[in-house]
Amino acid sequence: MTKLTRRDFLKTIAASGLAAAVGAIGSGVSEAEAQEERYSFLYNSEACIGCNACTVACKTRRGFPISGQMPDKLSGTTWLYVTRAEEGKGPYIRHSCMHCGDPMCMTVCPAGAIKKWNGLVYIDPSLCIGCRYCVEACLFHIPHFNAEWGIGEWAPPNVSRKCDGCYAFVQKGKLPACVEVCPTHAIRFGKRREIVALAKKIVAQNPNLWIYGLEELGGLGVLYIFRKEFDPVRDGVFPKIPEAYPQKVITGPLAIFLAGFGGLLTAGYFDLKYRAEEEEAESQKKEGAEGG
Amino acid sequence: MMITWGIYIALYLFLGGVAAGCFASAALLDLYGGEKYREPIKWGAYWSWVLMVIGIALLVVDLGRPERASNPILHPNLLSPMGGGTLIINIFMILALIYWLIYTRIPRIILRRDLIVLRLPVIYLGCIFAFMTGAYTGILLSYGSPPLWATSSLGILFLASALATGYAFFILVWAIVDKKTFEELHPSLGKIEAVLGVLELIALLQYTSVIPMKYKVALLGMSNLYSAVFMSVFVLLGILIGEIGLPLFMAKPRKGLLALLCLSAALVLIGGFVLRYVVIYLGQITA
Repeated sequence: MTKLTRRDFLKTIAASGLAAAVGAIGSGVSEAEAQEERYSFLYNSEACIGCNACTVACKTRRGFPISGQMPDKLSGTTWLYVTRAEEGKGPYIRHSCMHCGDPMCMTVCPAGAIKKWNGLVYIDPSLCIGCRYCVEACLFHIPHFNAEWGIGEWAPPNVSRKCDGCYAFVQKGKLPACVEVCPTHAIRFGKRREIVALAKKIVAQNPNLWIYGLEELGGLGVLYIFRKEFDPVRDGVFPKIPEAYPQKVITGPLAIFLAGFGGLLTAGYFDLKYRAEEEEAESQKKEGAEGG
Repeated sequence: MMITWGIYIALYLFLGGVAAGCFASAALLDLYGGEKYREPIKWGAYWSWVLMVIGIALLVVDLGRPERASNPILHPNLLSPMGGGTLIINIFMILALIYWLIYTRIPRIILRRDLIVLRLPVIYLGCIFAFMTGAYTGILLSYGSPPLWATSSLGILFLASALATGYAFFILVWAIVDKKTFEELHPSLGKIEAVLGVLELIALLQYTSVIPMKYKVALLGMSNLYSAVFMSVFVLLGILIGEIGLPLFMAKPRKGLLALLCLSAALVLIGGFVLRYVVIYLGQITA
């Protein structure tokens, strides 16, 4: 059974309340259905040969420069690369945006520049203010600030950039560039229910494999298939997601609100104290005048 | 990990906190003492909005696209601490400006009337937004991924530091603009500073109790330069000496009071800045 997090629970309640308020029950697609229908990737580490054709295709589609050496870190103009988990050994790992179900980058963006289209999380460079909050908030360290010279429409200078799942190309019926060129079909793309079913089928055929990404951060938009002896979290490739991570969305504003309430109470206390002292001084004055 | 947020953000969070604490101190003195303390109140309000303006200017300069600085207001994402915080600090800045104007002749010259009728609403609303601004500076970081930041307790610690540094700044301003009333009250003022210092110490202990052990060691273990500066400047000089020790020492009439007061306030302010600087830099380095 799928574990329901506190945030899911609150979101369900909020969504139900909203739906009831607008009388939309039964007329729309439920959140669970939308989750099933969102686009996702599947990266099969066992099928990957580390050729980095995906990296080159990604850069070529966007017109980003390609140097002789393959990149070993993400940047404003490197949105994807493949490397081994350890120097020269270990499974291949695809490093790129995870298109999280609950993307923290989107939550923190103050200008609403990070959006989702059918599960693909993208940055609208025309709205980005270059505050780099998304860079700081992403547990996977995916968004990067493009401080380089602007390179075409996909990497204007001084804004945050990251893989956008080729959403603009998918809208036109194309596949993401990395999926299109992968010679071993190690990267697949499709509706989440199809991708999850495919991942489970591959794992069922080979009991030495397992799937990473089904539950993390609302379900990652990139599922990984690894050998069982490799755990990307235990082996330090991917971060451990703190239990309280999504709850911060609730506790943060609550703490700010409570601080404001504290300010009000403090001011009220001083006000009442001053008034009481003033009244007392006045009554003493009166008594003194009467006595005199 | 690379340093994404640097000195400008550290200064912005520091100045925002000082502005919030300075406003709250001036407003509470206004409620407690009223007209008698007109000068320190006026200058406290003045500095709270000036410091806020400087802080926001630093934030804008730090943006990759400063020309889009109004986007968080035009296209707000209120779930984002920075999105909601932008509204909070702007409202706070306007309230601080109005508060200062209430105590000046400017409204009478321009509007031909005074704004005294706004005094109480501005004090109450201003206190709410000052406390929210103080907490927001920490909550902003708590949404970041570095484990040193990822707790709402940082909001409480930054709020406690905002009140302490803002108060230290305010009593410094007070001592300069109205020495007479300051000298009447200074023993009580020192005790308040010491109470704020104890509260900050409690907030620091609470914060350090919730961060993972590895990061606790990095922050408190004196094993790196950041930790050494944090412990010696923020904890020892800032809180223990500047906020608690010296104010209690000054509670009795002594010679050289003003010099001691300047030293105490300077230590508290430097400590407050070091807190933000170390948390921001060490957080990113250890992420």
